This record gives sequence, C-alpha cells and structure tokens, in this order.
Amino acid sequence: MGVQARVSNVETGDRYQILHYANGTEPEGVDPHIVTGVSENNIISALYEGLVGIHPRTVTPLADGSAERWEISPDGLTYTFYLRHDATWSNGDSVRASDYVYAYHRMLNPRMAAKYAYLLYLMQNAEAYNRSFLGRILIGEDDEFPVAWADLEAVDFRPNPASRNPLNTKGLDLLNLDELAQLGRGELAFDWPASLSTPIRELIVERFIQFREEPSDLWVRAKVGVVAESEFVLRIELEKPAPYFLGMLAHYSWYPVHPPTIEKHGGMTQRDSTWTRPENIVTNGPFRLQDWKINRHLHVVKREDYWEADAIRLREIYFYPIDNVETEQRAFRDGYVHVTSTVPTHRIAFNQEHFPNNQRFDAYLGVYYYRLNVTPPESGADADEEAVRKAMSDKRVRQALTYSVNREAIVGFLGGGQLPAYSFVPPDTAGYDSKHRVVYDPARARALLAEAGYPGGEDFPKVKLLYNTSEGHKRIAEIIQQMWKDELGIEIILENQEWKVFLDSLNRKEFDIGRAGWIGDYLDPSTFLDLWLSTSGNNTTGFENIEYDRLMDQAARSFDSEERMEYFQQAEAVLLDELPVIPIYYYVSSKLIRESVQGWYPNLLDRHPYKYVYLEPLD
Amino acid sequence: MLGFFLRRLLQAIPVLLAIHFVTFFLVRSAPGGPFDDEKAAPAEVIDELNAYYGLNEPLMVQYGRNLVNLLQGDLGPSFKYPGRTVNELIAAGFPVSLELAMWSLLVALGLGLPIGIFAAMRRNTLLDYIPMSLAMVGICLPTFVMGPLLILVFSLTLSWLNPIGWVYAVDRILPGATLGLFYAAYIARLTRGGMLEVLGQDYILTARAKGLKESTVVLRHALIGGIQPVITFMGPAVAGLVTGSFVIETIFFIPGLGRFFINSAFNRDYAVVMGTVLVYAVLIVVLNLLVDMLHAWLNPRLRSHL
Repeated sequence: MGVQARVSNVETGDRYQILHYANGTEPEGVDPHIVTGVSENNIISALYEGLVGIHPRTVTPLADGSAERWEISPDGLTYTFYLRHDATWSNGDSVRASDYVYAYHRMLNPRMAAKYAYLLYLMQNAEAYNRSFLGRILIGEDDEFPVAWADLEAVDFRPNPASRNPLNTKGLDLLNLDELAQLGRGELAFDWPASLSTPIRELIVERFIQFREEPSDLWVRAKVGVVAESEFVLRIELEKPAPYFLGMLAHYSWYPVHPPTIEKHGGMTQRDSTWTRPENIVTNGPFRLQDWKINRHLHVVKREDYWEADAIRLREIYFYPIDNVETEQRAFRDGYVHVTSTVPTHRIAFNQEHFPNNQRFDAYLGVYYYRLNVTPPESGADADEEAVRKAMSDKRVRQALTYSVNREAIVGFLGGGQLPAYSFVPPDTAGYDSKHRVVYDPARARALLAEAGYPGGEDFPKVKLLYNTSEGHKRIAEIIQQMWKDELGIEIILENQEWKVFLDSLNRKEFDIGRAGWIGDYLDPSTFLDLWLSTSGNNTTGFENIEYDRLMDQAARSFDSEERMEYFQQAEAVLLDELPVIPIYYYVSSKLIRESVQGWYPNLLDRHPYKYVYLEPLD
Repeated sequence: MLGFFLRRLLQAIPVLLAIHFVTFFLVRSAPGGPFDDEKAAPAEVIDELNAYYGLNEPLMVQYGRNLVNLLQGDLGPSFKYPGRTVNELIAAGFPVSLELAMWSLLVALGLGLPIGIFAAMRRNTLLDYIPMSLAMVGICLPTFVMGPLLILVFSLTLSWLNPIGWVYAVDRILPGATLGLFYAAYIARLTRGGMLEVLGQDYILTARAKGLKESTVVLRHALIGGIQPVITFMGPAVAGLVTGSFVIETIFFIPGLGRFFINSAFNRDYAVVMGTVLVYAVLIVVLNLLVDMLHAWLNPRLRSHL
C-alpha cells in the first residue's frame, strides 16, 4: 500500500493496453454452466471460447472459435465441427471434441440444475435427458423394446392434467418407487391406452421400477445428439432445423470446460466447487483469470499461448463490480474506468453537455413491456376480483389499454434513444420485422372500451399495475396511468414490490398488469415468441392460444428460412391481436466510453469480443 | 469484575440464540426464493437446486441443522455466489468494514471531543455557537450527500484523491471523513453537554479554589466525568459505524460487509443474511459489554455495584 500519484487508470491503461471496465454487479461466478447474467457474460467471454466466435459488428457466426470449419447436412440437422489442432487450454492441453461432449453432458445433467440448460434443447434428446423424460429414454431409446416408441404416444409418461386418475395427472415419468411398486402389484391403477397389451404394460412398469431402484446417470442411454467422432471432430445432431444454431453456439452456455479440472475439484455436478478460483481454473479463451477479489475487481491477463495470441492487442482487463450507477458515473469522470455498464436517465443531459463524445446509445435486443393477467374469472372469487378478471380477460379491454399508450411520449421522456415498441419482437431481429403492429389510437381505444361495457371508463374495476420497486419503473407507470386516465377515463392503482416479492406475485398470477422486460438470448424471433407458448415457464399471463402454439410449432419444424419467418409473422399477429402483453419500448444499451477504446462496435447483443478491442491513446 | 464479565457473557448466549431463531424464520417467511429470476428456470431445475441445498426439508429440520452447523463455526454456502462460503465472504468483508469504522472513529473523536470541550469552556459565546451550529448541520447532512460532496471537491475538482476504491492508503481519507464527520457532530454536542454539567459541580469549584491551572481543571478533573455520555454513546456508535457503512461502501466502492448484508436480503441468500446478522449481533453485544466495563473502570461509584 502506498500513496498513489494521481495518474488515472485510463491514462496508464491506454499506455499499456489495460482495459478498465465498470461491469455492474459482482459476478455470481465464472463457471459458464452456472451463471446467467450480463456481467458474468462480459467476463466469461474473455476467459473462454466456444465452437464459433461472433463478428464484432454483425454478431454473425465466425470461424474464429475452437472450430476452424464446419459442415451442415442438407436437412440442416447434423453439424460437424472440425476443431483447430492448435487451440489449447491454459494448462497446455489441447481443446478436444471430448471436452465439448463432457461440457454438454455437465450442462444438461439434471443434478447440475443449470438454469440455462434449456438453451441446449435444440440438440437431439437434450431436453429428455435434462428433464428426465424416463419413458422416452428407458423405452423410446431402447431399440430392443418390443413396441415402437411411436406406438406409445398415447401413454401418459408426462403429466396429464386433464386426467382424473391422480397417477396420470402426475405422469409415469414422475412416479416414485413406492407408487410404481403398488402399480406393479395391482394395488394402484393407471389409465393405459386400450390398445396396449397387458404384458407390455407390465414390461413398462418393470423398466421404471428397475430404474427407480437403482437410479443412475442416463447420459449414455439418452443418446443426446453430441458425439466426438475423433479427437478433433465433433458432431452435433439437432432435434429440429434451426438457422440460428451457429449463432447460439457463441452463447456461454455452449462453452466447453476442462474435464480434469472439474473432476479434480469435486466432480461434474458439484456446484460448490472451487475449480473457478484463480489458483485452480483452466480456461480456453484469449485471457486467463489472474486475480479475483470479491467486490473489488476481477483481473484477466492475455494468454501468450492462445492460438491467435498475435491478434490480441489488449494485455489485461480489470472488471469492477460497481453496482451503484452514480458511483460508476463518478468513476468514469475521474478516469477510473474506460467503459461504464450503463447511464442513468437523469444523467443523460449532463453527459451530453460535458461528455458528448463519450455517451453512446445502441439498439439492444430487448423489449420493455407490461404483461396482462388474462386468466378468466373463477367461480367463488369475490366480486371485486371477479370484476377485474372479467375485464382483463376481455380482448377489447386489453386492446383499449394498448392503443391508448402514447409510446412516443414515453421514449421522449426517457431520452436515451429508446425506440417505441409497436410489436413484441424488436426490429431487425435476424432480418425479421413484424408486419403486424399495434397502434396509438385513443379514439379507437375508447370505442373498444365502450364496446366491452365500460363507456368512458364507467364501472371499470379496480385494476392494479404492479412493478418492482425502482424510480425508473415508477415514472413510466405514472405516465401510463395518466394516459389511461386522460384517454379512457379509468383509474389504475399503482403498486410496487421488492424484486423477489414481485417475482413471486407474478408466478402466483397475483397481479393484473405487471411490468416486464425481456432480453433475447440469441438472434432469432423465437427467443421472444417462445415466451408465449402455453407451455412456457415464463408465460405467467395465463395466455393460452392453440393457434399461436400451432404456428410456433410449424415455425420450429420448418426447414425453409422464409417459410419459418412467415410462421413467426402469423404467430406475432395472433399475439398482437390477443395482447396478453403491452409492448412499450425497445431497450438500448447505454454507456459512457472513452475515445481511446477501439473496436467496440454497437450491436444488438451488446457483445464486444475482446479479440477486436484495443486502446489507442489520444495525443 | 470477573464475575460481572462472565455473567454478562452468559446472558449473551440466549440473546444470540433468540436472534438466530427470529432471523431464520423471518427470512424464510419472506415471499420469493433464492432461485427466482426474471427468466424463470424450469421447475425441475428449481427442485434440484432446493434439494441440493437442503431447502426442500421441513423448516424445523433445516433450523436444527443450521444451528448445529453454526455451533461448529460453519455458516453455510452462499446461493448467489456458488462455490463461496459465508465464512469466506465475511472474512473478506468484515475486516474492511472494521477498518473503515476505525478511521471514522478516529475522525469522530479527534474532531468531536476537542470541539465539544472547547465549546463548553466558551459557553454562550460565538465560539460556542458557531461550532455547535456547524455540528447541527453535520448531524442533519446525511452521508449520501456528504460523500458525493467531498468527492466533487477533493476528487473531481481539486483532483487530490481517488473518487472510489479501497486500494491505496489515501483511499481511506474520504470515506473515513464522510462517516466520521457525521459522528463527530454528535460527539461534539454530547461532550459539550457532559462537560457543562460537570464544570458546574462542587469538586470542580474545589479544584479551582486550590488554584489549579484551568487546563488541569478541565483535562484532569472535569474530562473524566464529562465524557461519560460520550462513552455510553460509543457502544451503539461503533456498532453503527460498522453495520451502517452500506451507504458509504456503495458510494466509495468499498468491499466491506455492508454490501453483502443488504444485497443478501434482496437476493434471499439465506445463509449470508444469517451470517451477517449474527456477526453484527455479536459485535453489538461485545461492544456494549466493553462500554459497561469502561464505565465501571472510570467511575468508582459504579465499580462497587459490580
């Protein structure tokens, strides 16, 4: 510890190619299979690389990751990756195809409980393995089984909520040993499809009992679609064609991990492992983890043995978990950091005056919206509750609410270059722009509300708008509350809850209108539209639409890129007619960034591969 | 004295157990779980996570296990930062918070005591009114105003000190001053009040009558009695300095325990909440005990009661 001469981080950083990055929050970790956040992504993309890289401007797939080239089968279902032989782990081991197999096994292992495992579901049988679809694995993947899997479709392996038999409601896959044993002895009854013979039924139950008695890892039996064909050739089989698959590989959930290191520190599914500590960790990216002091900084240093080390110009990066936006702004002003994680709304004007060349707002793949609880009224609810449910489950009311929001005024208030959202999927998502759009038309909104039985807002029930406690959300809610009052004559009640309480309320469907935001995981409309499938865990609105589900399913099965986009168009048209959501604005990523930072291009995913970033001191 | 000390230590045990009990069930009764996110994970994943951390067992079983682990010094794992134990987080953050508190205390006493004594000696003159009015302002000015103000002057304008961080020795100055000034104002007022009361008593008159120098009268005879209120205040003050540093830690980007304390509650990171609450509870119990013993040592009348 010594007295520091006041030379700022930025000045020394510019001279020695050391990037100082204000990275928002303290990272949960640097294990790509555990973390889920943005600040973690910023660090992990320095430490690891996946099969493919991304272009720094267009974020399209680039052959500058582990794979030097790949082949795609004509049906779009099989990808063969040829790994470069000179790519190494930071301990000198080669990056092998088997490392990727191990990584995907780990990510999907049910014991691992990886929150982003679903991003790997594109792979053949990945979901079945991750969610333990026992029937599909024990029977469907067993070629010896006397009955073909296709003929067993009518069996309730998965929960069947429509059934009256509690065992069928639970689903065969989820029965415990006790229930299965009773089933085997005939003490409990399960509703089988009539076509299935008794010996087959018994055989199925027997298989399940066998497994429940000695549960084991089903990885091999599940035949998940990832195979190391040789040391440097990896084959991935997809469940359905997905034109965005290569782009998705750049997401950290698809990154490899170093198997011997994981095994040495507690094994594959040990969450509390210390393998990510600087003294233990082994990574394959352009940088290695030098130092990690919680709530102070995380420090990475360029790997001289990285296969493309010559192209990497940055020598070090410091990530600072500055979670307070005001502190972050001051840190930037004083030259403590090159880049901030955000710009608070009320600072925009100040920065525009003092740092006009440093403030940047780039389009970002995300939408700020309100979700509406469309659950129809239940009998037995109290009168107030029933009135609210009746109003909210009426499409005309939802349309009236949507059409009376003046989005231009809201983005004008925000002032950070946000775009008004007239559709749910942000514009130019992998070339997709919704043809169907909601409108701002207060007159029509009033007419629709009158049609629904609330002329001039008369007798409109006490609907609540719920948001998580934050000054920004509050301001937007107040503006919209006022718009609805002025245009429709209805009085909406505002209510705020602390974050986790808020999430809990949404999950319990204890809300009428709820604030929401969604950031796309990859460049494709499905990352937004999948949300509103009736089976989606994130669909807390109660919106269930057979037509929507059908269109999305057709899009998922579609081999033809244009046809696929057309199905998305039709699906979004349904969504924007039914309106379980009110799109408000599309996010921007806002930041302050020093002029010396080069190669940091705006892109929809707000991702900036450090390979292309360097510092150029100003004279 | 020793008996008093042991008796008080024994009294602390049920207090800490009660705090543990209340904290455990309060935290668990808060809506929302540690694994809830904006992007909801599949139910299977949440179930597996709950099973991994033993959160699917009956609450009383979890409570019992928590208590047993605690007695062995194991505060458990953090859910928010997998691979980190609560012991580790506290070991990283607590010394920093303690150091910050120490510098603040130095500022608080170094400014508060002399100003208080001085004002008492110049009672009802301008030299009393001006510092006491300033102290009032200091009490009213919250740290989240004082902190950015000091940064604006000393970092962004004069460019003498770093605006954030806890790396170099000089990084202690601004946060220490921000937190210390607030308490200095209190201490100045308490000292003045205490001194005024003592200065009017007979034994001071006696000392003066003996012809002692004024400085001897004040510093040798009056001060010990006069700072009794300050000593009483020291217990909660030091605890407040250590536990209440969240705002300062946030403004100055200091890696102390306060940030874990607050954020763990928002994250429903149960074990971290419990760990930080217990650390603070022990701290307050110990400080109060120390203050009582200091009182006894300084005040002969109290000593006989022990």
